[in-house]
Amino acid sequence: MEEDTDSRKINSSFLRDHNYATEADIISTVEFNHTGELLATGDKGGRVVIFQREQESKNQPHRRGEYNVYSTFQSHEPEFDYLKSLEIEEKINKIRWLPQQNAAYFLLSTNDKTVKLWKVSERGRRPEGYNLKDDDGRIRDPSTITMLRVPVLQPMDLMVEATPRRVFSNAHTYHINSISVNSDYETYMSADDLRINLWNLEITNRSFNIVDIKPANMEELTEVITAAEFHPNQCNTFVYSSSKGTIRLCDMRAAALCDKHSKFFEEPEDPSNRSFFSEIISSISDVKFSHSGRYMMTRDYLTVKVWDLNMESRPLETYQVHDYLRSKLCSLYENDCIFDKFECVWNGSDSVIMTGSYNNFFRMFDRNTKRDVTLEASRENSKPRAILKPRKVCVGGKRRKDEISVDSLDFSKKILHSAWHPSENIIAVAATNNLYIFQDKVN
Amino acid sequence: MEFKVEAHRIMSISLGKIYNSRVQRGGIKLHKNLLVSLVLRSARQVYLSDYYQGVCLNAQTMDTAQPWPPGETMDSELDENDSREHELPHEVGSDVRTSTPERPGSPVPALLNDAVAAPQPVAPPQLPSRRCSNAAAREGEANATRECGALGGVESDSDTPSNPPAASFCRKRRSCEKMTTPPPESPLKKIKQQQQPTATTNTTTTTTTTTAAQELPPPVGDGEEEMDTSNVSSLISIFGSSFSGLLGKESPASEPGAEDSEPDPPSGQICCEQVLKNIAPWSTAIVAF
Repeated sequence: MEEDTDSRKINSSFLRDHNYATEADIISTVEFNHTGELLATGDKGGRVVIFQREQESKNQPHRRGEYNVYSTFQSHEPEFDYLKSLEIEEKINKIRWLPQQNAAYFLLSTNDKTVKLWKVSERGRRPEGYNLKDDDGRIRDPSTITMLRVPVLQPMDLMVEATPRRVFSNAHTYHINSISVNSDYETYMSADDLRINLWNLEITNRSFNIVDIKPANMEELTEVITAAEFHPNQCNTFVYSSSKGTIRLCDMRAAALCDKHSKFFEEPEDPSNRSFFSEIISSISDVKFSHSGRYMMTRDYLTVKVWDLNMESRPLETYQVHDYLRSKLCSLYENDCIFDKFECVWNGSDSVIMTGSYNNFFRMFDRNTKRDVTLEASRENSKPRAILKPRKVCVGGKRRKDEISVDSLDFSKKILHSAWHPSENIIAVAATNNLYIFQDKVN
Repeated sequence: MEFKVEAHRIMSISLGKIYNSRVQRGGIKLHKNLLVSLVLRSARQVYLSDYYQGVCLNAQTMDTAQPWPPGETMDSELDENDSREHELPHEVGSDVRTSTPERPGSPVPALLNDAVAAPQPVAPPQLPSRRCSNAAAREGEANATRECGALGGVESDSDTPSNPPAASFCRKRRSCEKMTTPPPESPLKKIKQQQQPTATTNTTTTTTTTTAAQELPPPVGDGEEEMDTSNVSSLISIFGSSFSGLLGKESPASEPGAEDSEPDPPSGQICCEQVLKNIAPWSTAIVAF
């Protein structure tokens, strides 16, 4: 059943739901929760917007579970570090959901320096009939009270409130780039450029440093940590990627400080591709374990690589995302596009991987059929509910009718963040300040 | 030759990025600055190796009697300057030092291979730096930082009077470029002239600069490149002077800029110990920014 939908999807039979525009701010992270019922986005203004999937109704069968805004709250505010005279951006770098354990939802959101645990809960009832207060809240005159009554819970309009339950601060000197919740659901880690800290979700005044790659002499600095993630099943295992294109897998049982890796993944560089910018394009921007935990995927500037955790010498599969940019690296360096950090995502069954590109294009690769497709997230080029048309970039020579030439790509429109529903073929794609949600077509 | 132009352009762009990052919101981003400094370093290596390709070819034309491999070319030039010889054994190690911010370790041999793989051996890149620094030392400490900053080869096309030692590079390189016209001895003579404790007032070198400039072909590249160059020279002077502020800042936290702001950087100077102490924090600051 799952496989059928997968192959249908790669045949680009995508239905597009309507387009949600957030408050004109650039989306900086997108994440589904573990059931896929909720979708959280964080933006540069420090806000978190949570969408909830509608229950399917028999009245409108074609509106199959659309996502509507559920809650909006300001997660982080801009701060100023007086000691270093540095402004701390409020941009939300990452959001990670905690698995649901009761009626409330919990998520972790982080900016450059501080991680916060938010509780999002519904309030649908309120007590009425107090003895000493009016329904408005005004204190009643004691002389008017003649009888005793018990307050009763009455239904009210649904209200969703978000409250910060924990604030984990002052543990990172450098900018936090990742957070990852452990499968034990008790701990999580936060990674900055040079260190990774392990936290207990209950304790905010203490964290353990588990990786520290800061050299004694900063002049010797050669690489930084770019992403980190816990293994989905093994609570003792995590990986972190570096700016040099390497991934280290660490086992927390081996030592308290996991500076010595258990496994080291690196693909030897192709000397024929060497240029001024080889180091930049080999820097890994994202690392994600597969749902099974057997594979992991890394994204560098031009490729996506799938690694088998049992093979350290080279990746299992390499997919070219936009190799036509290889000859344009110098101009991309000038306009800073070469520093863009693209993310990558697995689908629920680990058979398809997806990542973003420029011109609001995003790419999907089917690992089984080895087919790939380029799609575009744009309002102009596709109507609501239309099936997305595959796009193609022509590299040189004759340009066919529907193709786009490399030079006419819009590099200001980039898809850095996207998310895939954990079990269904629903994807959320963030294109600058717009969020697009695509669903698989169902006849 | 196109590589040199390209390398120079990339160097000026990289410096611009590093400079801009200091005023960006959210503080200095370590990752981006590390990548930019790596690009800067690669471009500098290419630039210097390209540069010395010209120098060695030029030196070869001087001594037509025997064909030398480039390494020996440098050695013979070294023999002419006594003070250089004793520094020769240190070259390899120190070149590694300046080329890369790392201690000799696994990444270093790779980089060394890169430097060696370039047409020129490791030795030549040291040469002008020494000359420059000697000249600079004589001209006074005040200019040393900036001039030896120019050592990075960043400003080469500039004829601005404010950076005479760079002009000496520029002269030397350009005379290499137009190898046909000048007599073989003259470039070396000019270089020696530069080293001699001339009046070493800026005006003197400036005049020589301008005369040299006149006889040289117009700068490679269009007006935009010239603008980049002049921006770069101002960038360097601003950066250099601001950096002394960084040096003085006693930040307890691990602000990368402040971290490496040690007044006495570790050993590994290529040229005059005294002068390079000013260079090293500058160049290493870029790397570890």
